Amino acid sequence: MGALGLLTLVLGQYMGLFWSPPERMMGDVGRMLFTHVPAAWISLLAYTAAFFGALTYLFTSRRGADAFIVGCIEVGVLLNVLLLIEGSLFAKPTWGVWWTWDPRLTLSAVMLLTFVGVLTLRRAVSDPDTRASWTAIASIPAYMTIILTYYSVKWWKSLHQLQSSPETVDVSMTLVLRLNAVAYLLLAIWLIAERARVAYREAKAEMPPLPPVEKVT
Amino acid sequence: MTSLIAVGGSGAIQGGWEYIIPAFVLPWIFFVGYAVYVRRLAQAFEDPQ
Amino acid sequence: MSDFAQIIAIAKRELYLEIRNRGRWAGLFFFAFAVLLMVAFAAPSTSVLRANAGGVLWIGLLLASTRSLDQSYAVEMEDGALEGMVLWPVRPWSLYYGKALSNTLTLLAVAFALLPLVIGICDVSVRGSLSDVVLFTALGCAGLAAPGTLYGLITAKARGSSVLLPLLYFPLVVPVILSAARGTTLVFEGDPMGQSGSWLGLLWAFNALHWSLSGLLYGRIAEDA
Repeated sequence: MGALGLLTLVLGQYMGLFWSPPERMMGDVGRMLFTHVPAAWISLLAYTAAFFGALTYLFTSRRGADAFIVGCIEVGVLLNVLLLIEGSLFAKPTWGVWWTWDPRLTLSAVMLLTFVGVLTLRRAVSDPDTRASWTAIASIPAYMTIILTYYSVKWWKSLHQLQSSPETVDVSMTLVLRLNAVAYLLLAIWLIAERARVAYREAKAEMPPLPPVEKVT
Repeated sequence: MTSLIAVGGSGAIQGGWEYIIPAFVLPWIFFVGYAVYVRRLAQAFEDPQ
Repeated sequence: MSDFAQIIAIAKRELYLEIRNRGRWAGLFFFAFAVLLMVAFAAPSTSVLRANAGGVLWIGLLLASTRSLDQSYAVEMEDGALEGMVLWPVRPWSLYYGKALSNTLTLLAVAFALLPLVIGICDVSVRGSLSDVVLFTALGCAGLAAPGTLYGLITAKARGSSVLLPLLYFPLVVPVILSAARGTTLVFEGDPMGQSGSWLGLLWAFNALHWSLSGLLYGRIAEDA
């Protein structure tokens, strides 16, 4: 799975860098969007998965759900950081500044803080069941505020943005974008699975061993 | 955020490769770096008890 | 005892605790006042202050809210009464709503005490209607108290440092701070373009979401550890 993801990434990046023609207004710098946009999509996807994991945990209290949440949040944070750095790398040559209060970037920063907060909370709790429960509980309002935060920041900046939809994007670019997105998705799935596996083993190790079964004579 | 609208044309931003290269290298660092981190975590459990 | 009566009873208890310990409320107020002064000193010019008076008010309130939320659990922290909360003959969400209500009212009290100070220090002439100011303030305080009461319980029980509550809770209330600060500033200016309505809508949405959500989740926390 991981190998597949890496392979796809190679292909996606190769296409992004060489095959895809330079964008009209941004020149080669536009190529960076191929690394930046998929990070945004997949990190949001990871957080969404974490949200559903949280709901699952609250209803079933299964340790597997908690392990899943950990994987999703960590990978989500990873991609979130990536997207913010990429965003800055993109902003400097195009807009001349390292940072801008563009609604989506601002939202990304807020999202990052929110979920880093949840991860920090985990470290503060020693009992695994409590930790799992509280992670799930904290994740839910955290996730739900994302939409409200998005709108509030958008109105704050009152920037009228053209959300790019595939119709407005040249076909050759959509393909590359989607390819990179698939690459990121595969890699994310792989990493989440790995991380969740470790977290699950951790959780099982923390459970006290069952008393030995007495032989009936 | 400007959208990917079309192809070609001149008058575009020239160069910028000092930003583009890191932008493409960074995902590798992140993905591989995290994978290594998870492997290390896993190894902590393979240790004999 | 009906749920509603339970909620009122709990809110009364919380408020009684606050009032009895008058020092706490005064401490909150002066803390917020100090923040106000610091912001005023740090601001580049009075015109900047005037244009952002709403923001100044809400920074002060936000910082005061973390102290206030910590304090609201201080009584239960002593002597391990937090664990005892599970034994109370009240429904968990009554507990939540009672506490959240009292936290809102506490913040509101601080806010109303701060308002004249903000207006004075930032040299603002209030062109909008006072009732709008009150509305924004009330919704903002409620918006801060709702998630704050939930996370306050988590952080009170967790052995984290005091930085855990702000870390968890600040990003969450970004919509509240933005809406309340922008809205208040707009009201001060008289809202020439009628934008305050959308901010108000956001505040209502945030409050609706979090008051219902947190009430549901609260019981789970009280049960654990």
